[in-house]
Amino acid sequence: MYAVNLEPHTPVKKGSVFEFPFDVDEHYVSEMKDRALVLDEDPLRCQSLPHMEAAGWDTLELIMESKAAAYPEHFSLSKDGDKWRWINRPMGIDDTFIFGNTSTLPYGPMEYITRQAQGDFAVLDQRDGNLWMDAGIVTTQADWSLDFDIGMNFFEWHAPVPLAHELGIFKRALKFLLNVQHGKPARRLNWTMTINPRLDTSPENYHKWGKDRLTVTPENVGEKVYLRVELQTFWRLPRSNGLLFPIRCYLISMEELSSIPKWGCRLHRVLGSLPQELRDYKGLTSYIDDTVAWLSKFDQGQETSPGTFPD
Amino acid sequence: MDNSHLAGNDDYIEGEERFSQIPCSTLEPMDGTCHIILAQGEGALAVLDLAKKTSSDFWQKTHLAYVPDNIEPNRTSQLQDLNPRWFYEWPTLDAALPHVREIFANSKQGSRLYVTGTHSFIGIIFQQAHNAGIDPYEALAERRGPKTRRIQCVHCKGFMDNVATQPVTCSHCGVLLLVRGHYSRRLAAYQGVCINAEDTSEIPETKELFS
Amino acid sequence: MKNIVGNKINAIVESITPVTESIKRFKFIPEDGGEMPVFAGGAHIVVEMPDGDIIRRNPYSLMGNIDDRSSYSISVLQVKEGRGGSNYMHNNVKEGDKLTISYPVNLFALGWKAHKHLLIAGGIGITPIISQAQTLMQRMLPFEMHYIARSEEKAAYLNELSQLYGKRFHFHVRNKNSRWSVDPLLLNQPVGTHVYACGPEKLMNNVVDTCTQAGWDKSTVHIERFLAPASGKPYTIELKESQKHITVRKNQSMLEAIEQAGVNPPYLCRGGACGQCETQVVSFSGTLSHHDHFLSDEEKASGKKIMPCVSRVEGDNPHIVLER
Repeated sequence: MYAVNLEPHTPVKKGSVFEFPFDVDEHYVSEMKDRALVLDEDPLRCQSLPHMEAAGWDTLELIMESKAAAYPEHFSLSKDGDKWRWINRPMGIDDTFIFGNTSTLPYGPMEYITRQAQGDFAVLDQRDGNLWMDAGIVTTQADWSLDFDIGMNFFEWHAPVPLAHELGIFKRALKFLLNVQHGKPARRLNWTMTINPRLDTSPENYHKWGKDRLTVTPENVGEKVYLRVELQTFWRLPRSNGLLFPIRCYLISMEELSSIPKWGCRLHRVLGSLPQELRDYKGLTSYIDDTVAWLSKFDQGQETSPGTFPD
Repeated sequence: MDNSHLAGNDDYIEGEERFSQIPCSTLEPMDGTCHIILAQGEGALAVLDLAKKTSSDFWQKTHLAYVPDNIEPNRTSQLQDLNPRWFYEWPTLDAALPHVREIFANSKQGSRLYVTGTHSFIGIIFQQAHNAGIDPYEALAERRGPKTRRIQCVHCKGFMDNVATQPVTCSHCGVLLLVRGHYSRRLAAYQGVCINAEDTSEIPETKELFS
Repeated sequence: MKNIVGNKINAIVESITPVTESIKRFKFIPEDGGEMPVFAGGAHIVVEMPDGDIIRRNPYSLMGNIDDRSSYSISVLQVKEGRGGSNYMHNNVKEGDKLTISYPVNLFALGWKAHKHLLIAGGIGITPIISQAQTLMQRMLPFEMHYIARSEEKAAYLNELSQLYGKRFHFHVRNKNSRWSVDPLLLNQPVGTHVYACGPEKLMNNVVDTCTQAGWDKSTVHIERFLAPASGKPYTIELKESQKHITVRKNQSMLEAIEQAGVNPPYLCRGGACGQCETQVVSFSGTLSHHDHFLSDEEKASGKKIMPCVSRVEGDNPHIVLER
């Protein structure tokens, strides 16, 4: 039922989200504004336990070096010893600070750089043969709470996933992640669905957005129902030996998705064969039948080409 | 990480997630230079049971603290009869906490922790131990007394002690909460999430599940 | 993006410095003149040494300045009766030589939740401890460092460490005339202390045993074991999946022989500790001589698994069939 669909995070295709280690797209500035608003309202969406400072500097270094190399027209980083200058042109930032000295930044290092990076970030401590979610910034999540899960180990934070008794999968995934090495990042894709293009589906606000699920009708599936795909990557952090776990979320409406016939056909088959436990866990129960019915017109039993890219 | 200690966790409710539960099992003697035992209410009985399994020198290097919490009968004299090297009694958890912190802060690496009583008591002592540098994953806990839970409402972040029912109305923000089998050691609480967010007119039956 | 994604580093030996009678320090710079990937206390690299028709791959702890990205330094103790790795480094490698090294791997990382760090080094085991102390200094974390050696002359970097770390640094001579014991030190640490030990087997076993009896959580006891692969009589291997028959020479490890045949199992420590190269045994004749610290006693007794980085086959008609 579950697959550990982990693979090396190597560049795949020019122009795709896999081209660079950290994808920056046309929604960059607006997503960063959204993040700032969510953090103003609920500062607990960004937390770092005291022992995670080294990992925070690791995170800042990795993202700055990566973005400056991948998008030199937007970002630049220059170093004079431990005096660093970081320029983020789209956001109008030009800061000079002392690497390793938190008092020279307006926020802690992890918060500083992830307020300038799309997607959620969990920063994991590695100890005692386990991974611990000890820091993170989470404003675009699929129904999990950093404030509640912070400090938990790999098995604890995965506990709400149904059929967790299929433990072999989790043990294998953990073993893989514990051995991700510096220089060799890995990635996997995860997915769920959501109503309206809402990135922030937090449990904190569930009592506010949960009712959206009952607004789906056979007629409005195309514009109301969105597929939510998460690109999860895994990076060994060399200073702290921690693991950075960015979760980058992409949304697409059923209408837009089905404009690629291969995608409409595939999603129809996946949703149609989804076990009940996962329908419940992903929160699809109240609208999945309407969605499967709506997608059926794209599935004539045809064969689809390998891979995920459009034909 | 060894999760085998959860195997004997009688607080686990069928159908709940086994891997984030309050870590309860049975107290057993461990190797160590010093033992710190904290018992609340009916937890005194767990300590007396532990004493049946200990060697004679065990109690010579043991701190035993008893928090009766007005729960009858009082077991002070039975616990004192175990002859621990140090014996303390404080009426409630609040009264005990400053002293417990002091004991933790002055202990040597290699001290072993045993906690017994209600979920709330165990959870809060473990929080203190963690802050002092004692890894509570290596400590032992045994629940005695009711199975009531300590809950955090994920919406308003308020805590509720001694929750016995499923669902439960948040005493702070009024949202009707599903008590999830998802436990945070850091917060010493299970998670409460709105049970009827999709349709608030739907009111599920309330059951006495944790008692 | 070399420092973010990559596999191996082409390095030049910039300098070789004698440290003691039997220890030399090697400084590597990247061939392309760029920066080395970041590392931290406890990390090691694997150095590839083309020795005749085989490639030796030995792990060495990184030392030197963790903030200086222009170079890496390692210290190599020459083990004259060893299999050849350290002799190769001492006798064959010259300044200006090109060598391939791996990205840093850390199997001896600091425990960031510790309230205090107790570093214990014996002999050449000082090398990972040096970079750990640097990391702790840089992050202003409380630590105490104990260095044990047979004599002051044999203790590499003694003066430097003593000057750098002052009261945090303690040196102990341990030889026939002076038996310094680690036990009292371990029995009097405040709660929340983590211990890190690297050095001779005896010292590390001593630390583990004392801590276990004293009730230290296993998560607070960090041991860096780099076992040199055992030498022994030659024997033969059949690699079932790759359909190859090979011979393991006297001074070669099973892993090195498998690599020489063109099969590349994953590895990290090459010293019997990390478990990466664990291999299924299909059948064998003779006896399995397990030298690793990874497999449990039951697994070793079962004859179903072996760690080819350090273990061998011995006895009569030694031969092994592996699932590789």
